[in-house]
Order: sequence, then C-alpha cells, then structure tokens
Amino acid sequence: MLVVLKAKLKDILNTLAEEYKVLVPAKIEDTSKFISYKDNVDIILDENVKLSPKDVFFPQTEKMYKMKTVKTSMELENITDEAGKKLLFGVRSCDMKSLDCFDQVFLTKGYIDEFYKNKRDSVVTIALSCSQPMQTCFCSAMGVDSQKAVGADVQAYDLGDKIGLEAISDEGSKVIELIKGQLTEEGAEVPQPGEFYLKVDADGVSEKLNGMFESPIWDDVSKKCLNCGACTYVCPTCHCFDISQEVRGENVTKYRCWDSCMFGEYTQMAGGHNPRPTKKERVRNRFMHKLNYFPDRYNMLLCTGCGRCINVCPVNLDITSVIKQIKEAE
Amino acid sequence: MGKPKVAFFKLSSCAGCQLTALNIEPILLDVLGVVDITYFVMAKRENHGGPYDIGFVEGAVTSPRELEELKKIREECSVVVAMGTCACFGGIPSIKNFCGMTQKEVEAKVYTELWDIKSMPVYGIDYYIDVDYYLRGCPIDKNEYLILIKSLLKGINPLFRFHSVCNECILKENVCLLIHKKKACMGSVTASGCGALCPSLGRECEGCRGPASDCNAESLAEVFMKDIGLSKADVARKFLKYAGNTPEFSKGVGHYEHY
Repeated sequence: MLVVLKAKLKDILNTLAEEYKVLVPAKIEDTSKFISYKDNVDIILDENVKLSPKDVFFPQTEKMYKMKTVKTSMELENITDEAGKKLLFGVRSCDMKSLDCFDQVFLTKGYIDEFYKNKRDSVVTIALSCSQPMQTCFCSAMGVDSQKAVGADVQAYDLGDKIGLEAISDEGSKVIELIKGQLTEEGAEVPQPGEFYLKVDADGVSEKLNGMFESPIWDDVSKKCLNCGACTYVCPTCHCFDISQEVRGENVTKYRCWDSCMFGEYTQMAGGHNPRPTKKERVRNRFMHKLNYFPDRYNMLLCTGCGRCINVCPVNLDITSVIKQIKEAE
Repeated sequence: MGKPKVAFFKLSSCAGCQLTALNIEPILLDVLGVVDITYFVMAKRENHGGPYDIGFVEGAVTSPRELEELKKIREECSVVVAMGTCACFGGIPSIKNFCGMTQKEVEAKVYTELWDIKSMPVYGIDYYIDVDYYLRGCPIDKNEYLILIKSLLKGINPLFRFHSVCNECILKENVCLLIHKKKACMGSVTASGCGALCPSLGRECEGCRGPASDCNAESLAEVFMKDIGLSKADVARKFLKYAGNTPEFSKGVGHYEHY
C-alpha cells in the first residue's frame, strides 16, 4: 500500500490543489465541516465533521435559472456552476454511502436531475477509513463498512501516524499518479476498526414496518419531538427541497432550497388541506421513509449511521432507540 | 388608483417596531414612492385623518381608552396589520397578566398617582378586533415588513412560514446553544423569520416571535428543567415573557401557579 506520513499530508494536498479545488474536513470555531483547503486550515482526521458534505452536491440554496421579461416575451438564462474539478478529501464511509443514496434519488428511475449531476460529476472523492467510532456512530448496523467506502475514487486508510492510499477508480488512479512521488510503498494491512459504543440491530426492521403504519408507537415516538427540523438538515441523506422564486421588477430568479418533512407547511396544499396535519404523521413519515419506503424503492436504507441526528436533537429523539422500539413493538 | 394611504398607530409599546419601519434607509425612498404615509405621529409633523388603506398597529391594549382607539382604527382602515409581538400576542406588557396580582395591585406597584390610571388585562389586538396580517417579533423583522408591503401592493397573501427558529439557525451552521452550550434557548418553539438573529450572536432565543407552528412547549419545558436545570418558576417566566397569552406557550408553563 502507498503511504504518507500524516505530518506530510499538507504537501500532498498542496500538490493536489494545483490540479483540483480541494475540500478538506476542518474545524471552524465550534463546528466542523468541509472547506476549501488552504495552508492554514485546521484539518481534522480523528473524527468525522459535524456538518456532512452534502451541501457540496446539494447546496442549501441553489439558483436554478433566471428569467427576464422583454416586452411581451421572456428570456431564459441558465446558471452555470463554477468550472473546474473539485476534490473531496477525507469523506467517511457513512457520508460516501449517503452519496450513493443521493445518486439513487437524483440519477435513477428514468429521471436525471441536472443540477445534482453537474455537481456530482465534477467531484473526485478520497474516502478515509475510521479507526475509532464516535459516541454516536452506528454505521455498521446500517450495512456500511467503515473501512471501505462505496463509490470512492481513492480509499485512504488511517494507519496511526500514517495514511495509506489505494486507487479504486480510473479517476482515483489519476489522483494517485499526481502525488506518486510523495508516497512510499509499504506493506501495510487494512486496519481493523474499534468497537462501536452504540449497538443497534436493524435486521428486518424494513419488513417489520410494513404493517406498522397505524401502530400506536408513533404517538409515543413523536411525543417529545419539537418539530425543529434540525435532524433533517444535518442528515447526510435527507434530500427534500422546495422550489421558489424571487421577483425583482422584470427579473425572476428560480431557486431551490432545503426543506424538511418535519414542518407542517411541507405538505400544506394551496386550498389549506394538509395530509400530514400533526407531528405524529410527520415523525412517522420521517422514519418510515428512512427505514421502509426507501428500502422498498431502492433496496437500501436511507440512514447511514453517521449519528448526526442524535447529536443535534434537543430532546434526544434517537433513531437507534426508535429502531429498537419498532422491533420490540407487537 | 392613487398610492395606498398608510397609517401607523401606537398603543402600549416601546415604539421599537415603528422605529424599525423607518430604519430601512437604503430603500426608504422607494417605499415612500409607492405608498402614501398619511398618519405616523412618530415620523411626521403633518398627520391626516382616515380612512386609510393600510393601518399598522403597534402595541397591546392595556386600557379602555386604547380599546376605543383600536375600534376606531378598525373602522378607518381597510387592512389592519398587527405590528410586533405586543400587538400580536400582548408581548412584554402581558407579563402583568401572570404575576398573580389584581389590576389595582399592579397599578399601585408601578404608579404613585393612581387617580387617572385605568388598566385592564393585556391581550393582542385580535382579542378585540379582526386582524388581517401579523408581523411578529420584538421588534418586527424588516424583511417581513417589506414582504408584507410588497404583497399588499400586489394584492396577494404574503407567505410566511412559521417553522421554528432552529430551522434558520441550523442553516446558518450555528452550534446549538441548547445542547452544546446548555443555554435555555427558546428557538425550537419560537417562530422563525428573524434569521436566528440572537442565537447567531451567541445569545439564546427569548421567544419574542411567539409560538412556531407545531410548537411543543411541554417537551422543551421538560428539557429546560432536566438538562438545563431551570427551576419551574424560571421555565414559567421563559414562556410567559412574550406570548404567555397563546395556548401554545402556556402549555410550557404547565401547572405552575405563582410566577
């Protein structure tokens, strides 16, 4: 395996930054997220970032196109993404899996979302394995291998004071080619991950949910929910959006922005009817979508076990305990 | 049709919302270009009588005299907008409703000369009259105010989505004050629209915009007591500060009686 000392990581990133716009997991004040690499950023390698990289592919607010009225007709103007390839360094397996979920939603079943596709195609990923799970991690229970990410171009391994790199795709080979001079060949093994603090058994939960739409557990689960929507925004797999426009005189900008199924207005119809009128229906929908509807449609869970929702929930509404509750229900 | 006639009225309040309505310098002249402000005592020397097309009412009703005034406002204005939390829910003045004293006792606590004071329990203006639109906040949010004016000019309903402040806060990528800083932040039950102003500056949300849609005050009250360590009385004060009159926030108070 090709390895590099962690102390020399910045040399490699500097080389890659000549070719790509490099994004790295870094600490910013009290939070952490993927930001553009500069020499002075505080890269974190010992834990996952608090905010997932989903906004690289699916921004909070994204301009779609512009319109302008010209006399009696209308001119359309496309909005082009910034040119050049991006390189995401240090994406964990859970967040790579969430990209797989996004691909299913935005690129399959006969419809391709161009806005997503353009961004997705312009990104090369270097996934990084985890040596020690965090308190809220449970990816293995969701079928994610923390040492081997799906869809990565390069897989990096945390080898203590070194990082091992392995090209997976052709794009990944190109990346390795660029930095080959700075890497050394060593006989390193793929490391074993540490033990998970959070133990969940999600086997059969999707099937179990088939008959649980009217189950009384939803009253119980939703009781303490505050409907704040924090879980949906930090979730790397949540992908609901709202399309709206801003009108300024003759100029119209269409944009889409994140929405959340935890809000009443999300399903509110123009006439006032709301098919999910209370919190119970919304909370049920969130968990049913993640654990039942999505597996039904795409054959994978819409949860990657990153644990971010557990970390941000003000009332500690924990998806792992919901799974437990579902499995124990009559 | 000429420019719509707009009036600003003040009941019991601090005048902060009226000030916000003026504090829009970059576009103040644009606004004055499309509406005709005919009555605005705080801003103008010459004020004219009704009828008006749009009436912005700031403040809560705390005395019979103000109630008379309010009824006249309703008759004179085709559209009445409750401007600010006092007008929407009673706001800060409504704290006196919950202090466990009679009107006479409250009056005596505040004023020395009582012969001319006639006060009554405080409610938002829609307790007495029909209100067409609400601008929440202490003070109101400039952008919402402008969206409302734009919508009224276009003849459409403004779309205000009152989900919780958490929504805007987390989009700003703030660190949660409630969970990670152990501050008694009301954001999760409070209506958004302010851009999570206070939490973005490291201050806990005080709940000035009143209850969010689907607010779960009981659950948050429990978090305040268990995780933050507030006393029952403190939790009650939190929920009674701005919108204790609303059924949503009064649920957070629970059965606590002496505030």
